[in-house]
Amino acid sequence: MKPYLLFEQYKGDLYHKIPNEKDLAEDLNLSAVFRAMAQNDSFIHNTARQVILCSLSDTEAISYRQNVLKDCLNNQSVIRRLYDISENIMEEAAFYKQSTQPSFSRAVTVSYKLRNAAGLADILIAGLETLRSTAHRYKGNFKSKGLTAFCLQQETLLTDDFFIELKKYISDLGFISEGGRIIIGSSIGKGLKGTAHILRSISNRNADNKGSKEANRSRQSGTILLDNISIANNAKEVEEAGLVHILRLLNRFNESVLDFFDTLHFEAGFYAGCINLHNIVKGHSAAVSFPVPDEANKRNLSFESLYDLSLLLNEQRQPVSNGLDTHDTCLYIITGANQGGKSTYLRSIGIAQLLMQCGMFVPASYYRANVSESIFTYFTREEDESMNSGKLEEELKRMNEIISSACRNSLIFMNEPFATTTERDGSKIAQDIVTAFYELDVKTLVVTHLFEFANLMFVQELQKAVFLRAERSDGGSRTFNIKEGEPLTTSYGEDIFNSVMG
Amino acid sequence: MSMEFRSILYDSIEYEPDNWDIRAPLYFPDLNLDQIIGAILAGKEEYRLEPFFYRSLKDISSINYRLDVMRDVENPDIYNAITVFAAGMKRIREYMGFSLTLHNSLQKKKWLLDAAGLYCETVSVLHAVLASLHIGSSGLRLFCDWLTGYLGSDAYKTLYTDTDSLFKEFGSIRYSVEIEGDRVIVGEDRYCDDYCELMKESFGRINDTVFDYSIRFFTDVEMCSLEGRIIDIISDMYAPVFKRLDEYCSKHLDFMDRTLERFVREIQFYICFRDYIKKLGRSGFCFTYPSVSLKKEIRLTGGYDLALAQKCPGLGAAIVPNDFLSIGGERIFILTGPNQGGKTTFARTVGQIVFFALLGCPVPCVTADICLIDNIFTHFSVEENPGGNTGRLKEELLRLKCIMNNMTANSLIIINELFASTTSNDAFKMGKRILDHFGALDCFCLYVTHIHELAGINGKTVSLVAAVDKDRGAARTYRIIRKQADGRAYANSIAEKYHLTYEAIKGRIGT
Repeated sequence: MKPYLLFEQYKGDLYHKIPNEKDLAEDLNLSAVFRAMAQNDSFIHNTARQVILCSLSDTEAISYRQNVLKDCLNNQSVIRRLYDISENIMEEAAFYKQSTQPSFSRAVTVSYKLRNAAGLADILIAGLETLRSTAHRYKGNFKSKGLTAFCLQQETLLTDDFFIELKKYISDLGFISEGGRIIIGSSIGKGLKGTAHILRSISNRNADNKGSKEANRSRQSGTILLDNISIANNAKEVEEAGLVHILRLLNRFNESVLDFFDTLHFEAGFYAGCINLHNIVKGHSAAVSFPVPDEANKRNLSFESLYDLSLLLNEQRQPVSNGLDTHDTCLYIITGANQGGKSTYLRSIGIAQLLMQCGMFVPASYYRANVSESIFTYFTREEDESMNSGKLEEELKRMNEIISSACRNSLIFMNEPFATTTERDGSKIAQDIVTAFYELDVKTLVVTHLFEFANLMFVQELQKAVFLRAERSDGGSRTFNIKEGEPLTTSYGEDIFNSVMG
Repeated sequence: MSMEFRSILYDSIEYEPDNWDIRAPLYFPDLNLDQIIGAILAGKEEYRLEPFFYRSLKDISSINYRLDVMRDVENPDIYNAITVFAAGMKRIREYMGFSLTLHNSLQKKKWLLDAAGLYCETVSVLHAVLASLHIGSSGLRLFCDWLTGYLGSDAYKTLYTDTDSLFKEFGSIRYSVEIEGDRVIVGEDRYCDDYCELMKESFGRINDTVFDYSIRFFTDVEMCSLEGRIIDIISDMYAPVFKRLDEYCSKHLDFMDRTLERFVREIQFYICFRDYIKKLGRSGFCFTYPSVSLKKEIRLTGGYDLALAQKCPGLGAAIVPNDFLSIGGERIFILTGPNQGGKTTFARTVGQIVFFALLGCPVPCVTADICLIDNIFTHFSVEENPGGNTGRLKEELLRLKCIMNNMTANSLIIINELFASTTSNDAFKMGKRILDHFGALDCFCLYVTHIHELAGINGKTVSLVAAVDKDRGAARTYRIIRKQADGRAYANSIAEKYHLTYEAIKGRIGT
């Protein structure tokens, strides 16, 4: 039993840790997104981080989530309720486990463990019942495959009969702690040793009265009184052996249900986070839409009214938005004015791409791009002004790491690469690397000050390359818009100089 | 009544050893046979097979009797049938052990029944399998015929019927043990539910992973007190069955046939040798079936030292095989050559091959034609411990005298560095007298020595030399060839001592 809210199928390592997740989160300012989703719920914060950083590259899987999320946005209270039910069960189970934890000093018998396992099963069964009735009540509200199947699963699996059977067994097991009756059937094996033992029944001691019991026996039987320690211990050994598989069965049931609730908690938590974010963005009247993912082997990037979500969340106001329409393009070189919005532009695309690839809505009125099998950011942190020659080596090391895990269908964001050396050297290195990416059809977005590099690329008239420029109004003030345009020699540093000094 | 069958190792009563308390022949350590037999018998200790290796066979038909069985055992089907049978017999012995040593008297009787049950099964399976296979040896054919007779005998048929019917009766008993507070009630098992199965049906809806839920308790062979009490009640409940068990035991206490007991031990001789051949075969070493005749010659090709081979798994190609050929009336072979040139290894190789041929076993070479040698004698000196010690010389001569008194014209004597403690001149003179004696006796002799002058004492001796490769700075080839001895052995050994041979220098500088 699994919730199937985030995945239609659970295959392999679902939330594999990517090596560059820290860089991604930092370079794209994702912490602002996580915080907005969490709304002070640390569990949701972790969930959001885990899901967003573990991109899907299968467009079907993305649309599966998109549809579930659409249902969630239309039924916000139901999703919150699923989240709350699973959270309560997890807490209750953890508390029960802790309170029944045996002290280490004494040997724990199977029957003692069995009693505890039955107690835990009681809690979990109650949880399943609550969940089932919730699913039953709201099943009509949903249109998505994920949530419809979720409700259907509850209905078909968790039937009334099922609950009645489970409760009967749990109450049988209760007899054991009250000194109930255990019957084991055996055959005679080699050397008269008992063999082929089968647990026949576990029942209340007074289930049937002695008279009828005796009558049922066709042959005479014998009674052994457990009147000394050694024989009583022998009997205990039989009892424990008979119960050990019951305990295993029950433990497996408990583990599975706990696992189910744990997964549900996680998955519902993610959607609860999405709802939180959606409401905040809507509160700012900013655009959101569900993006259109293309297959990984395409090279598309088109958007309208795309803005930097982290900027909106941090500054609580609608930032500048941009548009673009490119197809069959794998290289984007962005040049232009300092503080002209180039990094913000890069980040707005990065965030949108990541949100798209985890099945979320994006901060744009329209966004369409091919999915990427892995996403890398290679940012020279703008804040870090203390550049020296040792940094270049560090930089090349990072580039080496990226190249060793990248593939043709990767997406690479480069922000001011190789600015730690002279323009000549930096341009040469950048040209080599970027040309290689281009020829391998690796989708690459480069923000650069290296005019020599940008120009070298520009003059080649590459078919699959687009050159973008931070726009500047005629008066020299920045619009923060990014438009297509050839690289220019200056970055309007003069403008900034003027605006500061003047 | 079944026909007579005695032994799979001896075709005739008169060659069976009369005294099992025999010790290893004196030549065992010299030929490294103790190491080889140790490796062959590893894991087979329980069968006490050593005595079979200590006594050579004295006539050709006995040797061929064994070689034929060896050939049969080479057939994997026959080999498997026998090993399955042996494993069954081993378990039967274990069950018999329980029936003797345990304390609960009911349990002892049941173990006897269980042993007999397994015995009937094991024996009839062996018979069925052997009957379906082609058997070439008279030994195994005679055994099969005997087995057919035995299975048809009244004694076996009664054992089988009694065992089978009692087995079925015990098999049909199902009893229940109810544990209820301070008491255990034993009765007939009138239930049919499997609680685990039922519970799994319900709980398995959530998690349907399967696991083995067979219940195990009281795993000790000996019964605990509760088990004993349970069995007491069951023996009352099923009193007639237990009464029949009583009768069964007094009737069949000694159910096992002596011939089979003997067979299962003796056949291990072939099994362990086959295992040994297979093990060395995986390292690339081959064996062949020797041909033993009365024609007075020893002709071996491609022989190698087993003790060396078993120490070097995977080096099959690296060990140099050698030939030993007595042509016409050649009897005395003088082997000289450099130290570490393979002389001692060669001497052992010849001894081992003759030894195993006389035992009726495959031998470690490519071809082997050997006359029926009546005894092997060896005299190996401890090379590592030289010195002018008259006590030692006397000891050597005493041993030699003892050997010479027991030798016949059909003996093989292998001498390795005799008189190492005396001067070369003395060693030459004494050696010549001994060789003259052997020559007069007309026995086979392989004489390893550094006194190369002995090689030319008369025209009847054959000179063998451990060859060196002149092109490679007198590197050892470990090849033993017929060649006039030239005494060059010594010059090289000094260089070797200081690691200054061509190869050694090359190796040292090369690194």
